[in-house]
Parts: sequence; C-alpha cells; structure tokens
Amino acid sequence: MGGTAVIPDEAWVLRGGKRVAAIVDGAAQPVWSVVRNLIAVEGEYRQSGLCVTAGIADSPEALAIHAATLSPELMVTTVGELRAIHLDVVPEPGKPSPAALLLIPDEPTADTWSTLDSVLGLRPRVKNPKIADTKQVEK
Amino acid sequence: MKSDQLTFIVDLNDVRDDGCLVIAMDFTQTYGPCRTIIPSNPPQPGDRVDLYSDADDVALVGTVQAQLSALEYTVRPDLDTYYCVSLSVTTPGWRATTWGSHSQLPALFTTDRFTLPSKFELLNV
Repeated sequence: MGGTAVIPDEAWVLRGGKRVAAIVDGAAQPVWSVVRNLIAVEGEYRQSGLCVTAGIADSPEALAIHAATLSPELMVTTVGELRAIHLDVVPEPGKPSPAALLLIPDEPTADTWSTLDSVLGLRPRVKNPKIADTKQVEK
Repeated sequence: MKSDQLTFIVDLNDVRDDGCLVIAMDFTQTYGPCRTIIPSNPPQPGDRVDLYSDADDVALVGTVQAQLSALEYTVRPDLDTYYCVSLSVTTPGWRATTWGSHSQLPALFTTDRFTLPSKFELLNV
C-alpha cells in the first residue's frame, strides 16, 4: 500500500502517453496534458509532481496491468534513471502501490522538461493492456 | 446532444477510480489554456464532448456525468471512440484515422502550432 517507503532504483516507472514535453519557440515546454496533471497534483498534495505507476515487476508489461491510465501507450523508465537526472519518485499519498508521483522541481526549466522527455523516450513504449483489449491504436 | 464547439484537453493519467476524468473550461483546444471561457452552450450531463490528450496524440469522445462547479465537469471517456491523431510538424495539419462514431475516413484536423492547435475542426476530405 502507499506510504513513505522508498521506491528502489530498479523499480519500473510508467507514464501514460508518448511525450511530456514539446519544443515550442525553440525551448522544451510541458504539453498541456502534463500542465493539467501538474495543477491537479499540486492541488491535491501541495507538491509539484506527475502521476506515474512505479513498482518492482518482471517487466514493464507486467507492471502495465496496474497502470491507472487510459493512455493507449505507456512510456517506460526506471526510478534509478530518473534519480540519475535528479528527479525522484515517491508513493502517491493515500493510494495503493504502484500509484506514485514523479516529483518535479518547483520551477522546472526547459532543460528539466527536455531531459525528462528524453529519459522517458529511451525505452520502447508498452501497450496499455486496458486499451489494447478494446482498440488497436494506429501509430 | 454533442457539444461540437469545445474540445477539452485532458490528461489520460488523471482518470479517477470511477473511470471518469475532470474536464475544465480553461483547457480547451479552441480557446487556449488557462483562459476561462463561458460558452453559449455549456456542457450538460449526458452531453457528448470531444476530449484530446496532446501527450498521447489521441482524441476521443466522452459523456458528461456531472457538473462539479461552474467551470468543471466529470466526463466518462468512451473507449470505443478512440481515434489516433498523427502529427506532422512539417505540414499545417493533423492526419487522423478514426473509429467508432468518428469513422469518416480519412479525416483532417487543422492546427496552427504543435502543442496548442487554435482550431480543431473535423473536415471531410
């Protein structure tokens, strides 16, 4: 269950979608879906973060069955890879594992978004089994 | 009834335990984010509304469940209406393959910029 336990570096992290940022006027900015999530998390928990799914599993696909998102595809990384770029992942307060928050600095820069988007794009995305069962999404 | 004038930007990671999302009047494709609008035909429970996630490049239709406040509603996305939007940054448009209630193939969505289309209009081509 959710709590204060530290999520280990080897835990998989899944974030629904294909991107968290886009280049606008030459600089990386969060896409508006992400802005919405930041506002929602700030309002709920009084901290800056994004909703993710994070936990130990044999594979990202195995963890994906627990992802509480309607996104057709899920971006994949690990907690360790995020910590390597100075971003942490913590259990989402009051929610059962593997619900988690990817903590974002209070004043993220274009570099923050660019780096995060790159890390989330390093690994192949996995299909969301909730959506794959009902619809095959064309790329 | 379907509200054709608004396309709400949603984060599909924000789905609640009941399978619904919260939509807000200050995040629409047509009028831009963080700009409160009062449309002439605000959504009502039971209305069908267009939803769009720019993080996923997908758009779909949802049904308004309830009004939370003057500007916020809960909406239940209809997964049978998922249609994918493929973006080309070199052309001023979106090509979309559609399913379900939007199955008029192919369809073109016009847009002015990458993350914030100022116009999200289905055109028969």
